[in-house]
Amino acid sequence: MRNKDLREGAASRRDGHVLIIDDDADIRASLDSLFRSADLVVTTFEDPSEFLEARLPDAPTCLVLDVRLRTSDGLEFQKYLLESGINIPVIIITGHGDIPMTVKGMKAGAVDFLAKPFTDEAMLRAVLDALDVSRCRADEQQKLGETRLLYASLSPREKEVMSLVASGLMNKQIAGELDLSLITVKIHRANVMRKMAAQSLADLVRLADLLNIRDRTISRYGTRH
Amino acid sequence: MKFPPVLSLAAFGGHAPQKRRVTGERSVAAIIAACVFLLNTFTQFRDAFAVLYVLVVFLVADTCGVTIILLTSAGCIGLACTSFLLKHYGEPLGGPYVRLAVSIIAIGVAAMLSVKNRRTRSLLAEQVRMLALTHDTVIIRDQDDTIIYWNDGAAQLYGWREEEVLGKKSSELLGRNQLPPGAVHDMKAAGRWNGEITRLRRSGECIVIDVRWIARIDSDGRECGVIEFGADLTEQRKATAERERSEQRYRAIFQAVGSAIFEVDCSAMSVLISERETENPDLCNMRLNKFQDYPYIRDANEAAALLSGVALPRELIGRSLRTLFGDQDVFRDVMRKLVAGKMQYEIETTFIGGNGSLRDVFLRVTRPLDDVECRHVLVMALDITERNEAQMKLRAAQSEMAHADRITTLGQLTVSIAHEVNQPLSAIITFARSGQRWLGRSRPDVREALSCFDQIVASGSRAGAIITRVRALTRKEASSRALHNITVLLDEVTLLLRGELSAKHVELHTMVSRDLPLLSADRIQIQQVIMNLMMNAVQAMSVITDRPRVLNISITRNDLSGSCIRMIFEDSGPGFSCLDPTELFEPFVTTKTHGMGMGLSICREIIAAHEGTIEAANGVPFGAVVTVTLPGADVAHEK
Repeated sequence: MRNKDLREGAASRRDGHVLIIDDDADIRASLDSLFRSADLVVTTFEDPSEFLEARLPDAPTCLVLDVRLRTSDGLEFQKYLLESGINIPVIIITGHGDIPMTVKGMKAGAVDFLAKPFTDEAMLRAVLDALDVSRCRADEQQKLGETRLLYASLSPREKEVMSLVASGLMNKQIAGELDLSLITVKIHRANVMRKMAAQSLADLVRLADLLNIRDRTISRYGTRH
Repeated sequence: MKFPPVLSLAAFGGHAPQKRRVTGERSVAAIIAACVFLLNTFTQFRDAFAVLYVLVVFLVADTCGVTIILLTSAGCIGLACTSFLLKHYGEPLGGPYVRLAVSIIAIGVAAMLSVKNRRTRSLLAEQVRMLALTHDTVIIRDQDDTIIYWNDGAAQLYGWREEEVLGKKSSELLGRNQLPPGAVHDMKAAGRWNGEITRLRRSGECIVIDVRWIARIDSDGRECGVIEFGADLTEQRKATAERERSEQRYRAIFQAVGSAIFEVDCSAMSVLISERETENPDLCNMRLNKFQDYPYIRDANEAAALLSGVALPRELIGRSLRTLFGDQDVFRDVMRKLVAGKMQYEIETTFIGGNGSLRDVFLRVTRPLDDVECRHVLVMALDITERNEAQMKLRAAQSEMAHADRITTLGQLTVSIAHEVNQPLSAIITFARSGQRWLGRSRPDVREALSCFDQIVASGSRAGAIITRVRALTRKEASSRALHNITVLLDEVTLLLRGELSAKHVELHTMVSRDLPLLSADRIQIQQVIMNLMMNAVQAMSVITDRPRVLNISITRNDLSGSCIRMIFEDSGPGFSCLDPTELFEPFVTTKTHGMGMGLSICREIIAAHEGTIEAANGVPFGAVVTVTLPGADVAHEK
């Protein structure tokens, strides 16, 4: 019944795209067949260079990467991906999954680690999870972009006010800090809430956090140094 | 060549003085004939002058052949008739007619006698020539013991020349010796005697001579000396003694020699089978089997007795040779070869020794050159049982060591081989699962499922192939040669090492020429060599971080002799620190921390057993180069 669940789940998330890098043709072909049977789009690569030449799809994507590649080390490649800002969830498969390698892979941000031979459930579960991660990341990315746009519409003074509000200062303290009257601060604060489409103060703080504009040196209870 | 005067009458022409004398006598004969004719024709003597023509015939007869004698006689008769016609033509029958008849008869008789005499002398001359030429001594003495004939044989034996001895007393020259009793009596009674006497040579040396004396009888039937034929017994005795010594030496060697020798009478074989029939083995074997007792042993030595498990060599005599052979096919083969005219034949086979145990022997069958009938064929058997056993033990030890080396190497490869097997297994499981998925969908996709099953089969075969290779290498079996394609052998090893190469990030490049000759080799051993050399390279390159780890393997035909295979293993590692081949290929010499140091040593053993060579060198600017040369199957076959 579990298979059925997965299949239905997959059907509802038809847009998943699985990329595979493995130097073994049999493994590549078997994974290809497995993922396609789960209605996922699959692209296989024999080695990393081939992967880098290809254009990454827009849909939620994950990468199934073999640790042991003919010409290079899978973990090295995972590190390289991270460093070059290619943000894609990675599932590492290995023929001899020993602990140090697992730790290293997980530290480098692998979402899962599977030892060959793996079960289809484990593999599909890992892939679907990774696709979820990818989807979340995509959502976050989208949210961040929207927030950035809103933030850009603020005037410089409003930005200052938002930063201080997010830091938890009271209006009085903000007025003092910015050398403004209390009423002016209130107007600015109301503009910020409106422009940023924040429903509450907490919402605004979350957005500020997302934008990373909170001035952490300032707090309601005095300046920390 | 000169002859005693008495015999020189019969001498044949050819020498200058002889020729002159012949012409002289003929001239005298012609002059006498002319005188007689003139006297007979122009004088009025009544007597029968014509009778004097007889003189002419006799003179001519002395020097000329039968034809000339007859012609001369006819001429003389002609002359007598001419004189008669000139003087007495027309006379009535009377005295002159009678005289003519007497003359003609006289001339005719003279001619007849001359011709007879001539023939006798020719015969005699031939006999004398034979006497002169014989190697035996021929001496003729008269009744006073004076030498009157002395041939070349005598001159050679005694050292005296003919002219030195003629007319001398034989007892003075050749020593006065006691005649054996009975000699004189025999001579008196039978006129002949045979025996041995001792004589002196010119040098003073004593020689023993076998002589035959024949009494000379003169025309009156009285004894007038002795004709002696003699042969030097000294040489003959020496030769006999030498022969005896040689025979003894041969016996001594025959008996004392360490390897078994059988002297076999194979004469029956060549009678049973004709040379032509040797090409038909079935016929040969049938004939051989009919005569179980042949060929039989004439003689055998101590070693032969020891080998055959009998107490004394003579127990073997008379036995059939075939009872010794452990393998009757070999026996028949040997016989066939012998009859086919082979003088020498060698083969390794087994003999039945004491208690019916089988002994390994190296057999050499020799037919002496002069033994046309195969009566004394020598069958020499060298017992090599111990040697073979020792060799077998050595081979077993080597095989044991090689096996240990293979296990060690495979041990080092466990992880990568496990990976290589795991890959297809993993693929199989995934294919099976996805096959289920394709079929379990709301609209089953049979095509995809079938493709999954195909892939399962392919991956399963792949895993199986790896396991087979590993099992082959771990198996411990006796070396066996067969024809192999070196490319296939290399491919199988690379299949096993693929994981290891990939784990150690070694790039493998293989370059294999086409039309390589086949290899008559032990598959496992050659693969062990390839595996060892590849592993060496991989392990040596593990220290390299600043350049690619590359292993190049090239297999080509040898440039010099096209039927050889040359394999070159070239890596980009640090190379050999010591290139001394005596050290490099020694056992237990290693540069690795985990190694027995058997690898290269075993490679050398294996390659040497295949009549090949292995050489190590350093590459430029870095790396090790190991070159293996192996003879192709056609070359090995010729050997």
